[in-house]
Amino acid sequence: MEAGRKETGGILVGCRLSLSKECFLAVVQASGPGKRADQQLYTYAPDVEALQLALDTTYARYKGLGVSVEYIGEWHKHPKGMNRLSSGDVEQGKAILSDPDYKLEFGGIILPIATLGAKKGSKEEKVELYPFYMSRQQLEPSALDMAIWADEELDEVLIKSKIQ
Amino acid sequence: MEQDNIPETSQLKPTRWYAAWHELDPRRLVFERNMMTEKFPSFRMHRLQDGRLAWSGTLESNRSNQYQILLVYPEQFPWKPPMVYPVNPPIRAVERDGNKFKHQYPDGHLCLYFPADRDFDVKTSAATVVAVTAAWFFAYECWLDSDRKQWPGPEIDH
Repeated sequence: MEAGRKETGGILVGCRLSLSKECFLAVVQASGPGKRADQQLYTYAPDVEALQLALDTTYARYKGLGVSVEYIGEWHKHPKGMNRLSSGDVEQGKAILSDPDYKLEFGGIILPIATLGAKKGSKEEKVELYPFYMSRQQLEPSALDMAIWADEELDEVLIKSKIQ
Repeated sequence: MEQDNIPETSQLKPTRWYAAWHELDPRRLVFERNMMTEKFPSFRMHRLQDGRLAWSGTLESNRSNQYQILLVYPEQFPWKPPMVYPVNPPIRAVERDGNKFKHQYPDGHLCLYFPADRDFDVKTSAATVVAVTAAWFFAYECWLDSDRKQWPGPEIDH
């Protein structure tokens, strides 16, 4: 919300979670863009050092709980009405998928688009999320379903599932 | 024995997320196409290898010289004006001393708008930029006729 009309975003940290024979991608932490991010109206480049710190800090915290989490994607904001990945976003996603320095345990990344805007007749601005998935096997993005859980509830489920 | 220092987490790289102007504002693309089709019907739109959109076509000056140009929309369009490159004949508008370009940037694109003038604004279409380019060629020919001494019309030293 603070970014206003400018683009913003951050990384997603989480893991794969199997529940009742169904597979989920659990996001435990969504970072901000970092202080040195380049945020403009049409483009956004995050502060990579701040994102690395966010990843390492979250990794260490969950390691202490016995849960292995990693980088699983990035979110960023688009202007209202553009609730899909742009061609530039898809190219950036492909570059991440082809980089061996990204561990990507399940071979894919989540790329949610956030939009901010008010519905007609309302002054209240609302954030909406449109998550997409790209993988090394399927480079074309596909839309994902999403559910929001309370932090404590998700942590409890992850600890119980003993994901290492 | 020295242990390999393998990072425990992914090592993130600099990334850039962007949307092209025509993806953010498809109606503007329709406007641009309509304006160019109406004003310069012989021009054709292209997508360059780097994904930017461009128009190519030929202008004819009052002296019946033909200039093939390439107009390239920058990623920041419409906040920044399109760039116009003379293609054929290739033009290097170098001043008499041979050191300085005359209303042309070192990469070859023409200086059509000085940012401080604010002549270009977000509503300016490529069709207007092509018309300004035609005026640039008129001035260029006058300048050549003057043995590269006098550029007609107002100009800012830069």
